[in-house]
Amino acid sequence: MIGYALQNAQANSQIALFDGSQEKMLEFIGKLKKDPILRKSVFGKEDIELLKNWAVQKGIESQRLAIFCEPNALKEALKNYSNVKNIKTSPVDVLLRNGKAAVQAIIPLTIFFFLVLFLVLRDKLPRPDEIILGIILAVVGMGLFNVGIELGLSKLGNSVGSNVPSSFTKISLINERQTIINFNEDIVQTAIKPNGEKEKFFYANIKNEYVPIPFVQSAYDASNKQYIYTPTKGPLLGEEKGILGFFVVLLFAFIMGYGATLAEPALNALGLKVEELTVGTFEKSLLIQAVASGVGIGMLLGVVKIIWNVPLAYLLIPPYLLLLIITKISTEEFVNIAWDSAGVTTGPITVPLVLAVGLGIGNQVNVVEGFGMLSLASVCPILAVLTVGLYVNKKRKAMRQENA
Amino acid sequence: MDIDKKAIEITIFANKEIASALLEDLESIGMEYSNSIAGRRVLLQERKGLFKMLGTGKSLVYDPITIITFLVSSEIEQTIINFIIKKGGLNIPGRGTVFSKEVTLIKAHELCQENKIPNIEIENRKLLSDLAGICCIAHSGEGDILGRVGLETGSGVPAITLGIGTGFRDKIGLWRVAVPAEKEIVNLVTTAHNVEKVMEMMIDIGALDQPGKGFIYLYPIKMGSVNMKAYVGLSRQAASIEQIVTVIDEIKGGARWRRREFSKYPAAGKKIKYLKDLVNFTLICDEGRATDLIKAAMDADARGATISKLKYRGTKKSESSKISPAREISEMIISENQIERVVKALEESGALDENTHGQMFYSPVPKAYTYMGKA
Repeated sequence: MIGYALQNAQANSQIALFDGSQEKMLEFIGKLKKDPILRKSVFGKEDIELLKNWAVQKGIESQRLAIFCEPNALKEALKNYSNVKNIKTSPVDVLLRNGKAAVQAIIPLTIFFFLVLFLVLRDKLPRPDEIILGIILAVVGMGLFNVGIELGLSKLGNSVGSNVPSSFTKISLINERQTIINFNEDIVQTAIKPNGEKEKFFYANIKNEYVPIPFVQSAYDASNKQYIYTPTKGPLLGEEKGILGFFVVLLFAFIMGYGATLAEPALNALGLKVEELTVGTFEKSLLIQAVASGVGIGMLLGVVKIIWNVPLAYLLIPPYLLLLIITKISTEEFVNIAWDSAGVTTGPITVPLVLAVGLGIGNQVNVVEGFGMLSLASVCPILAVLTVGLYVNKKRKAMRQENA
Repeated sequence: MDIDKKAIEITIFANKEIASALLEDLESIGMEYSNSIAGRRVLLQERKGLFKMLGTGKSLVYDPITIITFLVSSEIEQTIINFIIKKGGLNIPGRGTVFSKEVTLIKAHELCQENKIPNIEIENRKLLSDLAGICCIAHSGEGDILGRVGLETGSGVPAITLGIGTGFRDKIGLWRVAVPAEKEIVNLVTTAHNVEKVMEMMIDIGALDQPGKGFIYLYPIKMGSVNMKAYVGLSRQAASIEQIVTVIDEIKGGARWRRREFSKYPAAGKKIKYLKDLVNFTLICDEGRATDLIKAAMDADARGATISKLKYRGTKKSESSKISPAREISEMIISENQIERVVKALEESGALDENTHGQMFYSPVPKAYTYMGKA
């Protein structure tokens, strides 16, 4: 999470992860400089060059100083790193790291089950060849699944999440931030708006094109003669903070929550088990649709929370109160399934996507952080499944009354 | 413990709530134990709104049911069935089915004999005796397609349960992981004179003449009362068609007058080569033991079995309450001359020991069908 925030979030969001204390954040960056294992956990590699490159490309002044210690070293680094693009992680490294994580997750659990089966229960494996093949496939599958999430789905979620607010507001494209060295304030010019308001700007040659760039005093570091240019985008649909833009973001949140849940393997497993235990009377597809719609609504509420900065308690307490009432009037069969559905929504596909989108939108609308969405994406599926349960029970009751 | 005697297996298909109340009623008159399997019955429902306008036909709806089975002696058979009909209101269409089947109890643990229920005073109404059952074991997900045959032809309401298939899967080594073991078992009780036609239709619809698609067999029923209400919804007439049929059955003294031709599903046009004079060998044992026992039976030439989970319920007063409620039922279709070998293999594998509490019985299967390879 910290690694994600350092690389994608704005400084105020990064500080939020350190209890709002800049000192604690700088202390952590100092540790990053010294501790290669910590660097690996944050940046995926021990290489200190990655940290230096990050500081030059994305760090704020205080972060850079924490890494380079003194201004001259920083100046030298700016020359060396300012044109270096992000160092890409090798797919082999990603594969090995995720493979190791899969082994670490599955093998100890398997050993535990074997020990219980052989030593405590004194039983034997029913179909050893099938089970061993299954464990091998689980390790390989989990490893590849994690690689897929890391390289594909998570990055796509980051990219979409950080860009989607551009539909209703102007956003800063932090990942496209560039440092212009040897900047001279003499090139700054003044423009005037029809209402007489004045604006400063300068021309930059980007990819052989002369582009006018608004001049922001806070982005200029006079001592190092550098200007940090952050491109902007939006609003793409109508005016700033227009209804159409908000509607698109909310619709996106719903569809993303709904779609991610349909792909969730844990939900599929729960659906199969429920179908088996109810001998098909509670169909898997009905459960999956109910949970997916619930997660979609939860995501939508989560985005409402982030955009309008609504306190989480206002969004969580009413549904939980409603849940207590519906739980009381529902049958045990549906209550158990509904509450268990909440757990499977926080699975390996939904979580990275929800967090990525939440943080992405949070950054762009200057909310300290985008957490809290998962809690809403957990409560709404329970409500959805219980509501479906009430409907199914009503139908069954009507059927019984017909034959009474 | 050797027995080898005739007994009656009573089977009830009823809605969960009705079944639960019936069990208590049966225990109150001295039933010592029963076995229950969770299942679903499938019913037709007229589509509403846009779907109705599009003419997309009828949809299927599911109702959770419990299938209760228990063994009794033949002397009390009719009394018990009448008691069940009266207490469960099973004479009202839509509430459930009850029937009896003659079985031969071969060997059983001493706690698993037939129920010794004392005779009770009850009005003995005439029960239908020209009934027969169809049991079809197909892949998971095929149950609705097969069950729909019974609904669409007005033959009966199917009861579907789940099971695990063994046999073919165990002969192909590790490749078995590619063949799903989960099966759906469709049970349909209908009139004896229509049963073969319905069976033909099910073979056709379920493509059971294709390799690995499933197994279907007929079983004789001694007497019973059948639920015929195949749809959801109230009748717009003073009496529903099922109520009228029930009354005519009573007047005519049977269901033979209902014999008819079915034209909706044309026969496959192939001459079906049935397997004849087989038996349905049933083994009921404690959970976790069936896999090993079936392996032993297969080593003794049984071709395969379907294993389902069973909930055993013994009354607190009786010795039978010592048996674990988690049980398994395994059904194998074998020829009569295989019975002895299979029983011996099961006995040697501990089917009657204190960890298994086995019960073995069989009933006749006059006709069965599955793909047997190209002739």
